[in-house]
Amino acid sequence: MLAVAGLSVAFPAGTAVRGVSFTLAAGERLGIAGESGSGKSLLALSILGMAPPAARVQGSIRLGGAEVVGAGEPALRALRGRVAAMVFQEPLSALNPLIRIGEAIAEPLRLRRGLTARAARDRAVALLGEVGLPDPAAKARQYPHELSGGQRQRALIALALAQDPQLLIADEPTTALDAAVAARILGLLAELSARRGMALVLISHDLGAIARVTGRLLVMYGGDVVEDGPTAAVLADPRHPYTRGLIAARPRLDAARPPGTPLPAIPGAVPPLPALSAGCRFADRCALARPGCAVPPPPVAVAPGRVAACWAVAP
Amino acid sequence: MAPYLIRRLAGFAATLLAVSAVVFFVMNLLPGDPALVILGIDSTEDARAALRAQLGLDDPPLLRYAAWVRGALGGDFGQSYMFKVPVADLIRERLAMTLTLAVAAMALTVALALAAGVYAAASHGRAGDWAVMAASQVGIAIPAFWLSILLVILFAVVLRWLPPGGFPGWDDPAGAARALILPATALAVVQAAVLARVTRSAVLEVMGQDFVRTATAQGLPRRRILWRHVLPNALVPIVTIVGLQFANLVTGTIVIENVFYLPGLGRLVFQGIANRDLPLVQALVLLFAVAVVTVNLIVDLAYLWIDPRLKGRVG
Repeated sequence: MLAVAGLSVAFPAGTAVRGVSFTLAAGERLGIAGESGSGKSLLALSILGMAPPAARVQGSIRLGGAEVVGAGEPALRALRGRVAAMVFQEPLSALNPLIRIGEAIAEPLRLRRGLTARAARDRAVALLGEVGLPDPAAKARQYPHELSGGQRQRALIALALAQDPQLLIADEPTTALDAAVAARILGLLAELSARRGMALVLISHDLGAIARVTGRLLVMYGGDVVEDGPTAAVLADPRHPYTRGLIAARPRLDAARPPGTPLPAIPGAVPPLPALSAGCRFADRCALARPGCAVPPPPVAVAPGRVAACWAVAP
Repeated sequence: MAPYLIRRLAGFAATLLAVSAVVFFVMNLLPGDPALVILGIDSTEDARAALRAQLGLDDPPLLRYAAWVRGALGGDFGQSYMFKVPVADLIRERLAMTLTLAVAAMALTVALALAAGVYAAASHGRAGDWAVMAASQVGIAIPAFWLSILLVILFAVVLRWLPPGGFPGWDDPAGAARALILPATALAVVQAAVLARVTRSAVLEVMGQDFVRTATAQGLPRRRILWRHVLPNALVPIVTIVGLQFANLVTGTIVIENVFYLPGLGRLVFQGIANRDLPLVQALVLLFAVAVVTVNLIVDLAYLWIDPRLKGRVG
């Protein structure tokens, strides 16, 4: 239902997404992992044709049978919310502070699905119930600031579900939440995806979250997909040096680490756009870097259903 | 909420009392002898002294102030020296004129400014934006009385669509409306030019917020997003400026009513000052002050109506 092919998103300062390709089947659950600046949020916005105006988008994104790249505003609006919907990172700022929760959800139902005001209100309450908000009728009458962080994120998910999308893109949906609430939101996303047969793209820097919810994982670095494969297999046996670093850098309670020693980390940070190299973008921070890394590595099949883009990884 | 209202109303009353004291004592400090104005320069000193005594001008100032406030509370502002009738009657006759002019000008200001400001923000950086910004720059630079003259030349002298001035009275509603079009426009254009700029920058700021992205991702039409989601969130600075502009409008009517020969409060205050008609001028200045303070109170209450988050904070 989603096919991204050779997608590049370039700004005057540099290329933020470089030649990304992947496909997503109906009902499939995909995780996209990477640090800040890896291009994962921009990739997500591009799927809905919502990259910033300054961005030049090239390649192809086929969403529910329609081409997104180069599509006009009316064609994009037909896709947004209806074929693919999005849940954003910060639920407080992602909800309009002046609009009651119920009205926020009823609005697209009236405008886009043609429901009457009454039917839309009832449906909004039902959706709030579906995402597990207690006393949904009362919550519908409240403003976003009157809800807790977890409740807001549930309300935002209910809003995304309003038009029964075939794909839900959740961009760091749990970053702003505490751990226990985050775990319940992740459980809710997985459950909604299964119950509705709705595909899910979960964007996160939290590999644990991705492992819980998704069957397949894309690892992004500096705008490149560096590794792609079944989530469990990639996490158990990472092939790309960046994926390995990312897994090693997870804070763990069970690891035997003497008190006071720093957490393992990948040295450095993702460079700003103009500083990204033309070759392998991870080479500056990679222990395995060698002269050949000045040429961008092609994706190579490293195992059945698994791909990595690294010169140091021999199949 | 209720304690806040009580506090605000107490502040409102205190402000009015302070304003009335300033108005009274400043007026009475002004040089010039009302008796001389009333009786003329041929009058004898004895006659003027008798009149001053009769008018109570020889009483101690505090006593006169107390008497004035007591009368004002009961709607009695004394007798006009010039017109020899109660000031309250003079004001009552002309209030409708000025109030209608001010409200019409304010409504026109807001309508013009919101349309132009939202349009400019929506076409940010493109021709429409530049056109609105250039037009508002011209509008800010033009004094209202000069614009009045231009409007009269064009619409009354050349095109003969509207009367150049004067007022047919309320018995002729169509004529009254026609008589108010040019003065209201002259007052509104300058104010709208300022307000359009405020609107543009407030709307631009809100357009960058996350909930606008959420609304876009729902596939809502752009116009709907602008007017239903963005503008209400931009209203606080806009309403603040509208409140300040109302004070300008009050002084603006004084000039404009004189340009267009409209029998309103503005002309009355002008005549009153020219003739040292203390009771009349005092009452009018107090009335203008009441209007401005009232509008400020309305603005403060409007904030609460606009943004439900503020209700929790005012206590």
